[in-house]
Amino acid sequence: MLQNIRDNSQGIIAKIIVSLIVVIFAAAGVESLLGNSGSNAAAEINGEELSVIELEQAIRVQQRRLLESMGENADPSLLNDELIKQSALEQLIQQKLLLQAALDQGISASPATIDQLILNMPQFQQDGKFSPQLYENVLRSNGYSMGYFKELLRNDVIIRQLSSGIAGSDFVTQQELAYAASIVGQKRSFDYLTLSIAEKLAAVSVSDEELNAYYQDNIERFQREPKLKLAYIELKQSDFAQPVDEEAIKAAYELEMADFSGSEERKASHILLEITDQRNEAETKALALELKAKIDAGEDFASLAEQHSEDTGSAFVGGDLGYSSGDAFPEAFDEVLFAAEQGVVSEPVVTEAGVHLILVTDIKTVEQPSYEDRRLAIKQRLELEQAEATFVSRVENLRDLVFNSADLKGPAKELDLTVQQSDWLGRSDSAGVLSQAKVMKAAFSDEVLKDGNNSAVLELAADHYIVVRVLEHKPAEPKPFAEVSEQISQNLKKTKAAELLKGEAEQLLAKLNSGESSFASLQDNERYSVKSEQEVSRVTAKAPRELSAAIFAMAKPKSGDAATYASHSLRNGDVAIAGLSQVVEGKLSDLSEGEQQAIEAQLYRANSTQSLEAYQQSIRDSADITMK
Amino acid sequence: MSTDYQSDEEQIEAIKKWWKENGKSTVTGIALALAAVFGWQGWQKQQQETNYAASAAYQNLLNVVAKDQAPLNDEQIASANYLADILKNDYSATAYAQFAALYKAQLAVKAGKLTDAEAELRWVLSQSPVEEVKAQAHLRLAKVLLASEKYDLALAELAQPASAYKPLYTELKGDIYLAQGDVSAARDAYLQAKTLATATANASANNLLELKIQQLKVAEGV
Repeated sequence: MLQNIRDNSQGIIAKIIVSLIVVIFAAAGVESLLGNSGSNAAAEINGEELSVIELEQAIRVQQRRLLESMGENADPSLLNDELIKQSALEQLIQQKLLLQAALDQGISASPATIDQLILNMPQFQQDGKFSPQLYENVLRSNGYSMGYFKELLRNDVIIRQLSSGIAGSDFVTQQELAYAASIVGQKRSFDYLTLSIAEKLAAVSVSDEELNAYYQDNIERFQREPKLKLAYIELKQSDFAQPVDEEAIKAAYELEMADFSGSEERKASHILLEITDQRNEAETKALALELKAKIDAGEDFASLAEQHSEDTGSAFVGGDLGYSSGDAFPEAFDEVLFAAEQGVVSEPVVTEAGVHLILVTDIKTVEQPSYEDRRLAIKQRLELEQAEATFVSRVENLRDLVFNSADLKGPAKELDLTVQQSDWLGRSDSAGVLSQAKVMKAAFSDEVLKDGNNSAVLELAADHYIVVRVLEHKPAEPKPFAEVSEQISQNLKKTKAAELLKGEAEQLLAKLNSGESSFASLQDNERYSVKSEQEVSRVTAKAPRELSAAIFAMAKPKSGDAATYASHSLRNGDVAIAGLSQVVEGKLSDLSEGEQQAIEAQLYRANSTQSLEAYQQSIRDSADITMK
Repeated sequence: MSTDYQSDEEQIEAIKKWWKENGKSTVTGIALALAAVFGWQGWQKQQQETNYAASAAYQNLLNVVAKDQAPLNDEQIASANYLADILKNDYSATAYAQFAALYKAQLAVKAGKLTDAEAELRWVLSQSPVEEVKAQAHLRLAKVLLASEKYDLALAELAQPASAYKPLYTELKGDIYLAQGDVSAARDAYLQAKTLATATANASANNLLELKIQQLKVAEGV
């Protein structure tokens, strides 16, 4: 055949064949002939590939956000990579499905629209005008090509248009509003009494047989954790410090003071609300304003931060972020922080992280420190700086030596370092540097624990390294009976007392339900102290909070019936018995205009969210998704 | 190839002969194919232009209605309705027209004009929308009918839920039964809605449904 082609290369047939080959090349590219364009897709969604690169980018974005939310003490090793990958993939799939559904329905955005959008983006404006230079720089520094950036924007516009049409267009009818108000604004009247567990605890006892039986039956719960004795070599940069002379310290001080302007530091707390696909900037701001109104009305900033702030790192500490001297936070944030009055919560502030409510909790004026004040710190800094080169080379030496050595003594001797020894250590002990997660992980790893090797040289901080080796190992074992018998005794007593208490509560409830007894008659019994609450709302009940939540979950009394009764175990072990005597339904007209609007806004949010979720579920149900 | 041993002249002869027999139909076929391709491209291009224009008009509508949480003033309501009407009239074949009608229904509900809202939602349903939009329109129509106290009509709208919408449809049925005074049917519907919702992986917690269920709890031990 080939011979034929060569022979007939002037012939018509050959020309046709050659032109056919040319056409195939032009249409499909050389790859079609090479055949094995190795798949680099993470998933395939309705025939469209989701590339590994896209997934990796999404994972990086998520990691960055998580680390930012962890604050200063962020430790990347705490992130669960598999979870992050799953959630990034899930998010990408959702986005892709929405985009596909939108495109299928003809949702689109013209190139002109996208260009207009770019022209108006504040990120690309200089002196109030679009700057092509700035545009190019911002894109390049974020690693986007113009084409890719435009495509992302276009997809974003398209998905927003779809989700607004599906979810934003939702509404709340007056009937829904009135119904919700009847529940939310409801008031309830009730009597209650508390049966104390303390009394029962005093009355019960536990025999030695019972203790022993419990110990034997639950032996796996009384395990002592495995313990190790470690040998280790620590390398600290400060150990290599060289003396510095006074002149150098003075010069460094002068240099420091040249930069110093008598400034102030402000301590900030914040509540962060993130802007998400389900909640645009305006809605998020509105939500922030609701919170601000509450705070202005006297509610505690810290506890609202704990409940609502989506900055999980600071939410635990009432929103506290520590001090800034004007450059610790994003510009918009610091600007407000330094303009605000102490103790007055700010208007919502928008940064890349979302919408913040900011509170100045302390103001420190920093004066220029004297030479004496700074001398020691500067001396230490200079000494450390001088030590750096030696330190770095020592760490490298140590790495090489411990890797090739069957113990730590040799390397220590060679580098003139000391091998130290620890006491018995478990994972839950706290023994300084050795208890750092990184060190414990290495010590309990197979290579170190089982194979008896030196660990790698671990970096604890830029100026602090350690290498460990296991000397002795005590595996997990049951704690001796004597050590735990007191704890078992407590537990068993609690269980018995709770049993007794439950019995009494049940008897009492039965009597109340049958009508044999009533709160009115119980009031005369000295044993019980009956309390009453009249027409309390969900938020104003004076009874313990956990009880009032339970009261509002009780069955309503039928009209004509005296009351419904229920018992509730409280967290401290006590049992409360409550009789619900009256329910007054809430009325929309009884609520203030602000409250009405808040309920309506909340219902609208819930409705829209449900609409979008049902939509996503529906397109997902009919989608063809393959994970690769 | 059976023509391996033919000379070029013989080959040309054969092709000439073939052309005489099939030439006309080949030319017509190619012409038709080209016409179809260009026609299809032209139609697509026009379709895209229409979509672009509708998209821009819709974006204008969003800029009015979705700007912020504050209630719209009369002027904003008028221009929102005006923009939505343009979409409904000039781009009625697009999904944008249906979205515009959904927003008109929202505006009507806010203004307390339930009949108008009903008309808009029925218009959406008349446009043979995709399954999800249809399901959404039925749901909202049922809400409007419930608010208008047309309970049987409202229930009729909920007769055929698309599977992903079952929890929402069932909860709304509960609302309607309750409005009709049928407490036990309402309780059953709410409990069923809860079960359906828990079976859905990605649904966020529905606190209000939880409260509705609490309200209808039956006293124990009586």
